[in-house]
Formats: sequence, C-alpha cells, structure tokens
Amino acid sequence: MEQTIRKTNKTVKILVLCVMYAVMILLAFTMLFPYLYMALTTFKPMEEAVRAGLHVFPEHWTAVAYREVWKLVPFGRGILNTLTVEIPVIVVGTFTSALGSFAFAKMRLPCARVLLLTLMSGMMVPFAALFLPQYQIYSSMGLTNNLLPLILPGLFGNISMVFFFIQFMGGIPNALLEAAKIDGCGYFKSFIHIMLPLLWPAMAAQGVFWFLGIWNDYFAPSIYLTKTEVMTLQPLINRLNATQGGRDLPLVMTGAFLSSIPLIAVYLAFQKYFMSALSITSGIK
Amino acid sequence: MKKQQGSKLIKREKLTALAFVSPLIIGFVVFTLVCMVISFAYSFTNFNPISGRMKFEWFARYAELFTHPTYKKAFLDSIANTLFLLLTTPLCITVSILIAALMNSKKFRGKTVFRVILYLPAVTSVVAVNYIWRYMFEENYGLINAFFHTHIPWLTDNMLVKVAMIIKNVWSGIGVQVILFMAGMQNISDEFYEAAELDGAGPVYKFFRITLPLVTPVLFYSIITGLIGGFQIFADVELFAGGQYGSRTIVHFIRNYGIGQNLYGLASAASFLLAAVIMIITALQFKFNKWVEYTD
Amino acid sequence: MKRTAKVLGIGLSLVIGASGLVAFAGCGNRGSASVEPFVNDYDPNQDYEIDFLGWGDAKEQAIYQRIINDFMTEHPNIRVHYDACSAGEYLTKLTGEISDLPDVFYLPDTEFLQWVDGGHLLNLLGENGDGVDQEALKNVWDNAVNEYYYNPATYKLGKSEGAGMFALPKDQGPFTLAYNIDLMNSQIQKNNLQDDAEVNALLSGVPVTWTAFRSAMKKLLAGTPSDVYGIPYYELEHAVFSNNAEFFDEGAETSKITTPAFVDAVQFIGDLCTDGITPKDGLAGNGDGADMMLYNGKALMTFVGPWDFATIWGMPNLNVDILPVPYGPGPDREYGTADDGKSTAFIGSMGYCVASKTKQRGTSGASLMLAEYLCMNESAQRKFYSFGQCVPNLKDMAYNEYIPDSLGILADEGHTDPAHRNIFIDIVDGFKDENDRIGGKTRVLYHTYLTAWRTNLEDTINQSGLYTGATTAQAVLEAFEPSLQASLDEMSEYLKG
Repeated sequence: MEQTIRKTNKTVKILVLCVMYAVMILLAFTMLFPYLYMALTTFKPMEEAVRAGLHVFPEHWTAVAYREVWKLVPFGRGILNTLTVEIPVIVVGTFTSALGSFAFAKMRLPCARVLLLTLMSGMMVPFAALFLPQYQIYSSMGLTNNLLPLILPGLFGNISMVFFFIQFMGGIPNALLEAAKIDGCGYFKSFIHIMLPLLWPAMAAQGVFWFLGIWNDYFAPSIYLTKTEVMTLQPLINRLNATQGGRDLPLVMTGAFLSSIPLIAVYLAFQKYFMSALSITSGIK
Repeated sequence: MKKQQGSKLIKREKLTALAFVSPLIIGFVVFTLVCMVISFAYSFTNFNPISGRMKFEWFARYAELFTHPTYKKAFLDSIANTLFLLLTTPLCITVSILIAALMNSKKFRGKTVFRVILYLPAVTSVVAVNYIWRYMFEENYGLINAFFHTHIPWLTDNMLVKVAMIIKNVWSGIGVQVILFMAGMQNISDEFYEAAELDGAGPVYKFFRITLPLVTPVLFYSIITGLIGGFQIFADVELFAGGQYGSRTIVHFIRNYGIGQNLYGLASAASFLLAAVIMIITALQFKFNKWVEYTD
Repeated sequence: MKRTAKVLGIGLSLVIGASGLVAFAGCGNRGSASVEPFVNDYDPNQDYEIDFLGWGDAKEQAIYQRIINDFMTEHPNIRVHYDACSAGEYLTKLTGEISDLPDVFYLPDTEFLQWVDGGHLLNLLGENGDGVDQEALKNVWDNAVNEYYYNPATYKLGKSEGAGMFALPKDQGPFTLAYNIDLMNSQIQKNNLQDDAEVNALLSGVPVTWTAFRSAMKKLLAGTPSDVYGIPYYELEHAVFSNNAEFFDEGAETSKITTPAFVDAVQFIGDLCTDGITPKDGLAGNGDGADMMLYNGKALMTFVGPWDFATIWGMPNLNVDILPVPYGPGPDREYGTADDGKSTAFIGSMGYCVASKTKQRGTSGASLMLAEYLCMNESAQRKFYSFGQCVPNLKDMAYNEYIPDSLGILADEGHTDPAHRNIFIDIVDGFKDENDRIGGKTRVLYHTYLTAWRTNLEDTINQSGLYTGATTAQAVLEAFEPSLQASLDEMSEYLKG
C-alpha cells in the first residue's frame, strides 16, 4: 500500500515537473518569437511582408531593406545624439543624487523629513503636467531642436535614485565616516573617498535603469526635436515609419531591429551585471 | 569653549548638508515646482502661444473639459481609455507572480537562462517592441490572425486596440516584475517553509499563506509604479496604434491639445487633473498599506 | 530647524508667486496684425543672409534647393539658408521657433488666421512702389492672391478696404480625383463596359452626378477581389462643396451642417461605403495608405494633387489620369435645377510668409524678393511644373504653356500624365462664369481660428454607424451640431475678444 502511494506520488511529481517545464518553454517561446519574427521580416521583400496568410519564413530572402535603411536613417547620428543625452545625465545626475542622499542619510540635514517628502511628491508629478511650460520657456530661449532640454533636468538628480541610495546608505555603518571625521576629513572628502566607492554597486544598478529609461524615452524627444540631425534614436526610427511605413514594412522593421541590437548586445554580454542590478534594487524593497 | 565649538561644528554640518542637497532642491524647484505653478496658472486662462492671447477665465477650462461639446468627448473618452489600460498592471503582476513562483521552486533548473530571456523586452527599443507587435496584430496580414484563422480587427476596433495594447504591455512588462518577485521570494527565509511542511502543508498552502504575504512589499512597490506609469502611457498610442481613436490616452489628449492645437489652457487643466489623480491614488495607497507585511 | 523651515517657507512662497506672475505675464498682451505699409529696406550694395523654412520629402527639398540656387545666382548679395522638415512636424517646429521665426516660411492656409492674428506676419502691401509688385500679381490666380488678405480691424479674411496682404501663394493645389488607367481599362474589359454610357461619361472629363458616379463605380467594381475598392475614402469638403452646401455662414458664426444639402453630402459618403465602393472607414482612410492603394491597383481612384505626380512619374508601370469630382443635386435634391451643385474640389495649400521680425532685422526687402521669386518668377514656376511639384501660379503660363505643353518640357521626359491636365487648371481658376461647371474652393479650416472642430466632426462621423448603414447622416449631424455651434461661438469670441 505504501509503495503504491509512493509510486503515485512520484508520478504526480514527475507530471507536475513536466507541466512546469512545458509552461516555461511555452513562455520562453512567447518571449523570443517576436524577435525571431522581426529578424525574419527584415529579409522579406515588400510585397511578401504584407501578404495575408501564415508566412513566418521569407520565400525570397533579400537584404534590400538593409541597404535602403542605411541610406534613409542616420543610425550613427541617432545613437550619438542619444548618448549625448545619456552620458552627461547619468554621470552628473548620479553624482548629484548620491551627494544629496549622503546629506539625507548620513548628515544632520535640517527639515530632512519635509524636504524628502517634498522631493518625493515631485516624483509623482507626471511629465505631462510639466512639459507645456517647459516647452514655452525653451522655445522662447531658442532651445528647440537642441538636446539641452533633455539633458538639463537630469543633471539635477533623480529622486527615485535618491530614495534608493538613502536606503542603501542606511546599511553602511557610520563607523567609517566617524573615523574619517576624527581624522579631520571634511564631509565632501569623506563622501568622495569613502561613500562613493561603497555606493558603487547601487549606483551601477540604478544607473542601468536610468540609462534604459532615457534610451527608450519617446515623449520628450518627440516634443523638442523635429530635425533629423538632432533626433535621438526612438523618434528617429519612428520618422522612418512615418515616411515609409505605409509602403515598405521590412524597411521599418529593419530600422527597428537595428536600433535594438546595440542595447541587446550590451545586455547579453553583461547580463550578469543587469541581473545583479535588479536583485539589488529588489532586495531593498 | 567646547560647547561653542561643538555647536559651530553642527552648524557647519547643517549648512554643508544643505549645500549637498541644493542641486536636488534647485532641480525640483526649477523643473517641477515652477513649471507646475505655471501650468496651473495657464489652466485658468485661455492662453494660445501663437496669437499671444491670454485672458483670465477662472475655471472655464476645467468646465470645458467636462461639458464643452467639442472637447468633452475626446477628454472623457481618453480618461476611459486610460482607465481601461490600467488593467495591464494587475494582469502583469498576477502573471509575473505565478511565473516567479514557478521559477523559484527548487526543482526548476535554468533560472538564469530564463531570467535573461524574460528581461529581454525591457532592453529592447520601445519603437521595436511596438512595431513588431503592431505587425503581428494586423488585421489582414498579421501573424496572430493568420495563426488562429481569424479576421479580428485588432488595430481598428476601439475596444480591441486596447486589448491588444494590454497584451503587448504585459508581454514587455513581465521581465522586470518576475525578477523583482523572484528576488522577493528568495528573501523569504526557508524556516517559514520548513515549519509549514512540518505541519503538513501542500504547495498551494505554502504559496498562498507564506509566499504571497511575504512578497507584499514587492507587490506594493509594483502596484504603485505600475499605476503611476499606466496613467502616463503615451508612446504606445502613436507607435503601436497609430493614433487610433480607441487608444488615445489622457497624455495623448494633453499633447494633442497643447502642442497640437495650441490650447495651452485646456491642456494644462487636463494635466493638472491628471497630476492630482496620480497623487491622490498614490497617497491613498500609502495610507492603506496595512496589508503589506514587512519582515524587518 | 524652525528658522530654516521659516526661511524655506518664505523662499517657497516667493518662488510660487514669481512663477505665477511669469505665467500671467502674457495677460492682456496679445499680438495683432499690423497693416502698416511695407517699407523696403533693401540695399543692392549690402549683403543679406536670410532663413527660409519649408517642408517636403527629399524630392521636393531638392527641387527647392535648385530654385533657391537660381535665386542666389540672380542676387549674389543675398544668401538663403534653406531648411526643411517633414510635413507632419512642420507646425510643431515652426511653433517652437515662434519667438524667432525664420525670415521666410511656409504657412498652410488652414493656419493663416491664427498666425496673422498673432501679428507674426508682415504686411506685404506697400506705398509708392514699395512692397509686393502688384502688377505682377495680376498674373497670379485671383483666388490665390485674395486668400492671403486680412483686415485686422474687421477680422475679415479676403480683400477688403483696409486689408493687408500677409503672404504670397505658393500654389493653389488643387486636389481632385485620379484613376489608375490600366486597372480601369481592365475592369472595363472584364465587365464589357466599353459602350456603357455612364462609364464613358465618368471618364470623359465632364463632371457627372453622384447617382451616375455610384452606378458607374458599382459596375466597374463587379468581379473584383474583396480588397480592391473604387476609392479608399472620400473627401468631406469635395462632397459638401459639390452639393452647393456650406459648413457655416460667411463669418464662420452659424453652423449649417444640418441643412439638407450638407446632410446629403455626408449621406453620399456613407452610401459609397454601404455600396462597397469605399472600405469600412470612409473618411478615415486618407494619407499615404490611400495613394498606395491607387498605385498598387487596390483602388480604381483616389484624390491626388499635382505634387503626387512626381511620385507617379517615378513609377514607369503606372498611368494615371485625372477627373473632376462628381456633383450633387443641391438643396432641392433634384438634378437639372438652378441650385445644382457644381463640381468643386478644394484649392489652396500654402503661402510664403515674411516674418514681421524682419523689420527689426532689416531683411524685409530681401525676404520679400525671395517670396516673390518663389511665387511668381517665370523660370522658377517652369521648373516647379516640370518637376511635378505643382501647376503654375501664373495664369498665362498655365493656359499657354502648361496645358498644351508648348515647350515640350513634359513630353521630353515622358511625363505626359495626366493627359487631362487642363482639369487642374479648370479647378484652380475657379468659376469664371455661369457655364463653368468645374471649380475649386479653399478648405474650410481656412475660415476658422482653430482646427479641433473639424477633427471632431470627422471623428464623430467615423465613429458613428454611418458606414455600416446603422445610422443616417441626418442623425449624426443633428447630434453634432451643438458642438459645432459651441466651437464657432468660442472661436468667434476668441478672435474678437
């Protein structure tokens, strides 16, 4: 009797395992298939892509879309523009965020609670409520079609990053800082020499997400930038769709596909860091 | 003597601390506070930047949003669309929790591989994600209709376009959520599970009585960020739905009537209402967070 | 802590107060059009640098660059910086530069009222020989020239006592029907319609009635696969204007969308859909998609302008000819009476404006010279029509050179489409007399301050059940009328307040 129960238990367990793996494989397929399909579509000729019916693989493989897209989309420019926004914002913005967090977490900051609450409430204000006055101000200063409106706000720090840093710094013992104080180290110096190195994993983690956020930002660039030369990558690809989308689907897909490759490549190469970045972030929750 | 020095040092510390947070404060003041006030002020006028007209008209803009025949339909419909699209958040979270639970079980091999796969959409260009899904949802030559031998007008029907958007957003949102929940689940100490097993608990019991309650902090965070983000959907309207009426969200309304029609007063009124709603909902969530179980 | 809180509190209130003031700074400070006569500040011995902003795809931009190069050769002391972006983003870009507008720029006629009212455009009429060359203007289409007159004192568009002229016409369009010759012929063959009176009348170049149009299209479409249509969509204005109907009265103050003539026009569009001549979204399918349907043989006809022929010439297997739009019976709903509709397409597109800031910059004279060159210079106009950009702005060139292709420019390149190019001119020159049955009218948005009402009207019609026959035009328009009237009232008040 016991043996039968044990056997049934075993069968049930194996069955459950099978179902589990089946579900996960289906999930993996669902996640990966669109990419495969996108890549395959780039190799189809125009007419094939809009043919009705189930055609995943191209009948006529052609690289015409790739040749065309280089002529029509200045990818290099687009990526350069995006990076022109990314690098100052992430480098300076992370620094200012960390500096501010240091004041909140490790120093005697007057009205700290009020200030933090105010800053956090600012985080909840949607960009939609702010962009009209910002647009007015920038256009009266002649700064439309300029990457500055995208860079400036970020330089002053990112509040969700600040919040995260404060939690993280909470876990760093004060002893180190006290020791530095006793040695006559100024606050700024101890911030730079002691806190920053310790903060590095958190900065890297948050920096990654901020980077992704800016890379994928479509709203702000679509408002401020209308000239192709200054456009960041996302609106640039969308412009391709606006001009060619009704006609040449593989062309648009190629544009979209090529625009995703750099980041995906970086991601796959450094996925360990991405994953650890995510676990740090969630660990604090 | 020492006391005086002490208080001087403290004063200096306080000033330095203020100096350290000054960039944050300046950024907040200039880019958020001032702009919010200006936007709020605009909402009481009929400002049009091209004609330069600006008359103070009290709450006329707010009334127009709800009653003026020309604008009220677009406004109310965009609210309805936005609210419907908020369904993405609970859907995504539910699916993610289940997947995370599955992946977290000890018997599952391949956690690392799957995490990489699941997170892929988060690092893909938002343009690419929208385009490929639009292509797949196309009525005449899209893969989904071809596969199921249906002829469903996903992108041209006002309700179906929202359903399609939800499906796409769940697909792209799972990655982040799963990993967050997995990390949350891994933080649950095994003692809880062992204790439960000693009492003869099955996997279902373990899930609902231990796992779920103890991931509520992550759940709380996900719901808040999901809702805040959900209210602000914009790129999808243009990139995925091509401006289809059924997909127009409130941010699209604001952009359309602000930058498009130059009706800054109207757009600012709508944006103020949006900001108010987001703040109120978030504040309420923080107020009623008794259900979140923190274990530290 | 308390002191810091106080300081912060006071500082915060100051900031909030200041930003509020900044926001209200514009109150009571509206710009307005000035009819001060144009003062010519051009000095042939001085060098000038002017900015010109336009739009268009790569082809159009190339054409403009060539013409601008010609201008610069003629006037070596004027350097023109030509910049262009895509049509869809043009207004956003222009609005973004509003505090520092380019010296010369395009302005769609639908936006004219708003911009001229804001005082951004310079009056080009001058005294004592200053200003635009009025003699030369007589050779430009009258309705084109009149479009850009505006009187800020009476808020009236068009020529009137005390009005200024605030732009020079770029081209007059027009926008009319075109058909795919090969597809049409193959359908005629398939259905044995060679001797069919209605079909022949449709293709003859003489306007036909709506009834005849529907009947002929149905016959032609017999036996086509389900994704081939007669026409991808139908332009609302063309239907309305061709039925002797109006959106509103002259001053854009009273709605007329529930008059029988207007209702019939919308019903006509709905019927085209229930007939199977247009696809499900009868008004919504315009844009690039519609053109492609014609080129790919998925539609017999669509609406085109002269600028589309640059693309059509580039497709060697495609042959296209144009037709006048069909007309309706008019308010009395009977054909053959005095109030019948006349085949009316819409005309007009954009003007070349000179920014009022050029007065301060001292570049008014040079800018006007560029605008005049683009609008009226013979060799420029010749280049424009030979590149398939537009029909000539100059009356004599249009009649004597363009229609008969007297210089053989079009024949040389094989650009003989459309064979009936006289129809373009027929529309553009308006209704010259009682017997002129083909003409054009400016787009309705030209008359209103804002454009939201039109989008709403179209959206409402598209969202209603009109195309499936679930509702009637009467019902839809009656439901919408309060909204339109409210918009008209608001815009009227806005303009005059």
